Amino acid sequence: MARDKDKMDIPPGTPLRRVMPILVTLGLAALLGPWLFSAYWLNTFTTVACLALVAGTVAMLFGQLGMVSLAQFALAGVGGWVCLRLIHGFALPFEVALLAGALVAAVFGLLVGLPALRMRGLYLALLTLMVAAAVQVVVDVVGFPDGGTGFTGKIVAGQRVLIQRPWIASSDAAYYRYVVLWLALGLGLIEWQRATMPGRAWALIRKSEAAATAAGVSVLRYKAWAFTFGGFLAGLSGGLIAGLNGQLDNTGFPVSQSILLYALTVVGGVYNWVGVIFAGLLVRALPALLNDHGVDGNLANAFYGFALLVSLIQGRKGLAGQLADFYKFVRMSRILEGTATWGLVSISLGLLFAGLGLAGFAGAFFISLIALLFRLVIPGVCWLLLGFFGKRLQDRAEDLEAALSLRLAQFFERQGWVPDHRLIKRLLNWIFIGVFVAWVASGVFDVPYAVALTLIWLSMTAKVGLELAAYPRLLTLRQRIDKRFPKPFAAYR
Amino acid sequence: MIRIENLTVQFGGVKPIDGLTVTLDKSIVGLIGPNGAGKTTLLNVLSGFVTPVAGSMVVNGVVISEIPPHKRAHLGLRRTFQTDQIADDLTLWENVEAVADHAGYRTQAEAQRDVQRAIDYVGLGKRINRKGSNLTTGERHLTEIAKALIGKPQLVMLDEPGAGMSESETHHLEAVIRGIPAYCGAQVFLIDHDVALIVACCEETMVLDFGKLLALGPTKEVLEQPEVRRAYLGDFEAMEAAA
Repeated sequence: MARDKDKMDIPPGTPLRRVMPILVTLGLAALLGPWLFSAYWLNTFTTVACLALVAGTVAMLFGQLGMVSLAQFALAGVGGWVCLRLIHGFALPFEVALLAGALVAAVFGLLVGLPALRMRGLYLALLTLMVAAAVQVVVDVVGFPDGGTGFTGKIVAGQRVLIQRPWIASSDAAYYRYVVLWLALGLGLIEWQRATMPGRAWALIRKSEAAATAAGVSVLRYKAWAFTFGGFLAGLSGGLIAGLNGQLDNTGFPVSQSILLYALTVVGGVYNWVGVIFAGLLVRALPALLNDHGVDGNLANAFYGFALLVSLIQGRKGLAGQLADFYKFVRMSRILEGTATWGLVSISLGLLFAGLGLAGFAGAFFISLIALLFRLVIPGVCWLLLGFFGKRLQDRAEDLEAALSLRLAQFFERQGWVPDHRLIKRLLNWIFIGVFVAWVASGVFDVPYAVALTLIWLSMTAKVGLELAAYPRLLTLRQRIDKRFPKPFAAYR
Repeated sequence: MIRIENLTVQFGGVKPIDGLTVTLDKSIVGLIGPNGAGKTTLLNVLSGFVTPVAGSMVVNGVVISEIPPHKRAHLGLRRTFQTDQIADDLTLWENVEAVADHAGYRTQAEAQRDVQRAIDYVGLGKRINRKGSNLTTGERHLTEIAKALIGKPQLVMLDEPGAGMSESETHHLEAVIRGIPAYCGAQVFLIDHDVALIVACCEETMVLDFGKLLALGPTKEVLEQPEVRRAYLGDFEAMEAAA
């Protein structure tokens, strides 16, 4: 089946159509974020957006050109540094300093990229790592402008001076929106390039430099451009981080972070913009989540090694790649059905809980949505982890599950009950998701644990109830819709 | 027209091409020779991937020896590779379009029209949205040829385009290659081990052996020559006599 799907011929879509999902998704995130999250989480997600932009440049270089750059986070440091210095020294407007920092980082990016014109693979990785280390050493010796006034910005004893955020985004909520919009712009630009001339040239270079040359592509120019553009966006992100905190210090951009960011970008997925958002979330949001629940956030690092291993074994597409594979199979009928039932359940539960005064509407609405989403995703993740222990084990488990389901279905049929044979799987799923998602959601959305748990179980029960009630009539409708609109996301990439 | 004078390539102690002097003016020229004869090296020299130690090359009156490889492509010197170089995650169309991006078209529309024309010409019009990874070996070779026909090619160099193709695909390939001079006015330089393909396509054939010119002339006559048979096909008479 997977084979069949892969063979479908689908036009790649115009650049605008390929950029649109990024703008829409991040636009919605910018719009809804401040309304949903507590101050702590809003701050965390602002950082996530900054990191995602850096991850975007890592993914562009690795996914598009096959070049490993471990210096991107250090370039963010360069951008942030320049941005701060300019603001402290010359009181420039934030945007001007931001762009100036990005430009300087772009030049540095080009310098980092120069060896890449001759080197690949491990040697390039080592070289960029050295650059990252060098930036760290320089910063340690010279020091960031860490809060004093004047061009050098060194703190002299006494108060720290924070830089002003841009006037249109001085509050935390506004600054979150500001950063997410920059992220949308940055990722949008990367995707636009993937869909146009530079992207095609990069693809040829990745395939083989000889082939690219024979096609008339100037390998030198396109590689240099990728590094320059990557440096620009990374530097931009550094300036945004500086604006978030109002200051930076010399511990902000260590080499270890550069490596972690690279590894997690691979885990998130380098061939898809969603992957870099995952990378940002993994770097900052997961540790923050653990911290929020009184667990040491560094514990996440232990999990990352394992995650990297899994994603390398699973074909280097990362989390985003697997999500995209999943989307390719989704049918129109399920999307419509899902939108209708998910919307109905989540909105009514949101209204109910808000009405009872147990939680805000937005919080309840999103917890319910997340529960429904996890209900879909968790079984897939379980199979994926099983696959890690070997294809045979996975196959056997699938056979066993199929056999059990069949027995159960036959049993139900004999009893004349509703034809849902996935009862056992669902029950386990519910217990797990209820306990786990409630733990996450109670932190992020600031709701008592018991309320979150009730919400989650209620939403899943309501969804199943709706499904069962409508099942007989739904079947023919599904078939009719699928005939008219075959899998709409098959072209997704 | 290709004029090569006293061309010598040296890798350490090995001379894959040794003092080659030849003028090729027929519209489709074949190049054969046993493994290691210097066929692909000659192609690499012409397309600029290998720098010769001595000699000069003139293509249609332009001395190309000093021009970097990607600029030679701009000049219309186009080549394909033995192992096809199709980007797996681009569609067939995008693969060809990637070449058109750098072929000096004035407008986007002009480029698009030529991409379509080249793809139609090699007979892959129904596959334009197929991803590179899903093309068959034959389709990949044809895509390579379509890539080489973009822009204003003057010399199209094909390195074993028939490798791994089925018989019917090879017949189609023959027609495609024979039509190239009429399609875009380019001279074709064809390397292949498939003598039938060479016979079917080439007016003129040159034979290399150990980097030296063994024979050059009308294809049929060249293949009849005893020294060519000995070098390339093996010395059957000698073998038979021995047996």
